[in-house]
Amino acid sequence: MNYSQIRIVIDTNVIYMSLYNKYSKAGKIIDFALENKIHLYSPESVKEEIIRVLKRELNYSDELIDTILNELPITWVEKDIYAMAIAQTQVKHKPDKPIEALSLVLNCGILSADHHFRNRINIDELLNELEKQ
Amino acid sequence: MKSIGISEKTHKELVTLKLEENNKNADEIIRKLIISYKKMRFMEASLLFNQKLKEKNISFKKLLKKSKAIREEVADELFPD
Repeated sequence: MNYSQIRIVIDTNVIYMSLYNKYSKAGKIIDFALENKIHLYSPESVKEEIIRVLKRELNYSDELIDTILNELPITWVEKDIYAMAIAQTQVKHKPDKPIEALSLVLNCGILSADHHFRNRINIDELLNELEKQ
Repeated sequence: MKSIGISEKTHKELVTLKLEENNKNADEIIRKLIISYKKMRFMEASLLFNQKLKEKNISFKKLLKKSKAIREEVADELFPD
């Protein structure tokens, strides 16, 4: 499969892992996105979650939060784009619905540490394919 | 194609890199430099993230737990029942 042709929805836990350990599997995913080999998307709910966590838990300033968000090679998708697909989601946990809804709209898989997503991408398989290219 | 103005010194260094790294053209070198620069900035963001965790004395596991609670809060606000 040519991954440069496909899009991937990335979940918060993978984003945090990439920041926590740049050399982790999640960090490698970010590197591949920076090289434009894959295209990462995430709903604005994830962006808002990150903003609040960085601000409340880690005392990031607004300016630093903007910097971090700009460094991430992720396209943040507005609620209006995926809201209609929320009703079609199968995941039971409400906070996970925007992730699945966006993957339905973009017709692509999800990169998440949570195993309950039906169309979850296996990160090892993805990295193997990308490293072959 | 677009043109940009660069100094004689920078031009010389680009040509040297092109020859040393067997790049097709200056465009390819500049694209590689941009990617390297973005990776470096992401590395700085990662270092800062770890520094903040240390300053706040919060483990990564605990941060993920707190993030889950905030995720629910955001979902309730964006998609009220």
